[in-house]
Amino acid sequence: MLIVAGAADAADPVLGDVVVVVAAGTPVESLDKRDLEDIFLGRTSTFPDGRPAMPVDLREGTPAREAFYRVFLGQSPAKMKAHWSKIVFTGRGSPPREVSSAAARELIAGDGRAIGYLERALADSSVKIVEVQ
Amino acid sequence: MLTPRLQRPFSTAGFRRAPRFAPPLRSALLVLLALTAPGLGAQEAASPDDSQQAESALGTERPRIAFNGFGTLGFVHSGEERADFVANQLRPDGAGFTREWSPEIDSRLGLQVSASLTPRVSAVVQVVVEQQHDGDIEPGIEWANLRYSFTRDFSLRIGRTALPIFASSDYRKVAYANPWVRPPIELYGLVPIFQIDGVDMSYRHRFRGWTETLQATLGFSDIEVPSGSTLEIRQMVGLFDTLERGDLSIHTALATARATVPDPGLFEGFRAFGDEGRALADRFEVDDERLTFATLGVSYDSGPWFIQAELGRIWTDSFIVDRTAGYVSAGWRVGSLTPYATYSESRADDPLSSPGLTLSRLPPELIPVAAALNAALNETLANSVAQRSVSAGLRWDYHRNVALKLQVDRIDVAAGSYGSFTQRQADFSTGGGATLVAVSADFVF
Repeated sequence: MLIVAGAADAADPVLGDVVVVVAAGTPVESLDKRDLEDIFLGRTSTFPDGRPAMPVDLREGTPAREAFYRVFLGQSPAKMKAHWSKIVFTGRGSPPREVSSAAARELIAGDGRAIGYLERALADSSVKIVEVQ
Repeated sequence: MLTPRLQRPFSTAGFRRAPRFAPPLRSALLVLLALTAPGLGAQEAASPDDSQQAESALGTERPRIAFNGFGTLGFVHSGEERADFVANQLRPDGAGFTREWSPEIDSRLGLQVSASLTPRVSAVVQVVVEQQHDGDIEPGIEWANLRYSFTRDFSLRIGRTALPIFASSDYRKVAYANPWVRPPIELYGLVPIFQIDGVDMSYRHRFRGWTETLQATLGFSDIEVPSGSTLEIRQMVGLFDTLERGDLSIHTALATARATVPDPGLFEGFRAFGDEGRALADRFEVDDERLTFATLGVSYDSGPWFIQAELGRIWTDSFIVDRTAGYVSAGWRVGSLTPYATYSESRADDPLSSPGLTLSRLPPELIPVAAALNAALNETLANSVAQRSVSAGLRWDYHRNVALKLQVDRIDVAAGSYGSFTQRQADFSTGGGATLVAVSADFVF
């Protein structure tokens, strides 16, 4: 399966076990890595089909967050911080909302615009795993 | 009278916006502050709350205030003791002659309040405390605008915004967001206009994997310079385009404006010298003068390494000499360390001197006055920065919000130019140079 790009990093159980999720009812099955990057870096506010997209982050320092950025987007925490500094201090936006893992699942499950990531073990039937290509 | 105070009477590079507002803007700002101020106390309540319904770019359910800041504490040492190195020619003094180590070149503190007032209306005010054109450390208003979003990707702003002439213009003061201690001064000092009071429209769309952001700006600016004079920029029209695809970003800008610098008596003096004097005054005076800028920047940032290059050109027909500038910079990210290197250069495309009035044709009693005028004109032309610098530095992401930087620059000034040096002593001449060492701590919060 291609679902988890991070599976390649089998040495680290956390890196290999982060999945991208949306609400169970959101009609998004798969995303290009580039589309995912555009959503999480604030370059777009929509899914490729034009539906509004709202990225949801886990809190800074959460292992799953670092794994998500490194594995799916190839970005380090410091580079992301610098990226958002550019956007925040030019009044062009704000970084994704930060919540805890448990709250992220609840938030994503309840909002068709939301897209986030979770440790696979936390991805229950209220959310849908998105295939990242 | 032409006095030694003319030393740097109207430097063109790095003009910095004065912290004051034209009357129409002042009232807009008051309204904006009135709208945001009551919400400040609510900031904590509006901080991330897991159970709270999150907002999207346009979907804010209720007003939300965000408070952010950035800053730099930095010191610069210059090996040239007969003049002061300044990174921004709007600054009256820097490192070298006035101080061995200057804290004023790079240090600053920025505070920003942004507010989503309704789903479509947002406001931002950013104040930066730093050394001003008169040498005082004071707050200046960087940003103060209201944004109306027609759609998620199409918006209009009114008020004060940064003019995105260069790829990093918008956040040139947020050193944490940049790899370097400061953006390459040869290019970023080329165009004197950093802020604009007016309106702009921004449209973002995606095609074939690219995200394109188009911006059109109309406005004006009054820029105070160390001599106490003001550079007036009027009828500024700018078109800006940013293309992004994955790790690649391409920025282009084209802008034009009319500029006026009040004549301190120099050109009036020339005009008293008949046809030749009038021709020289018309050639060099900045009086409702057309300025045109064009830039192109490309950056590729893969994460483990980055390379970026920008090229810019300014056209005027005045003592603001036509110049071309550019840089290329590359760095590598090794864990929390980012070593980087930059080559940067600005070249004069017109002569940095003028023969001036022909002294041999003048009656002997007028020669001293004419010679003084010629000298003052040439002093003014030599203020145009033509130089190159080679820089090497190291950024250390020491903490999540703090980066420490060390940078060494070797500046070589072109013949006929004073380069980035002010407070020049008698034995400092054109075509000089210096080695600079800068250490700084950049933070965001």
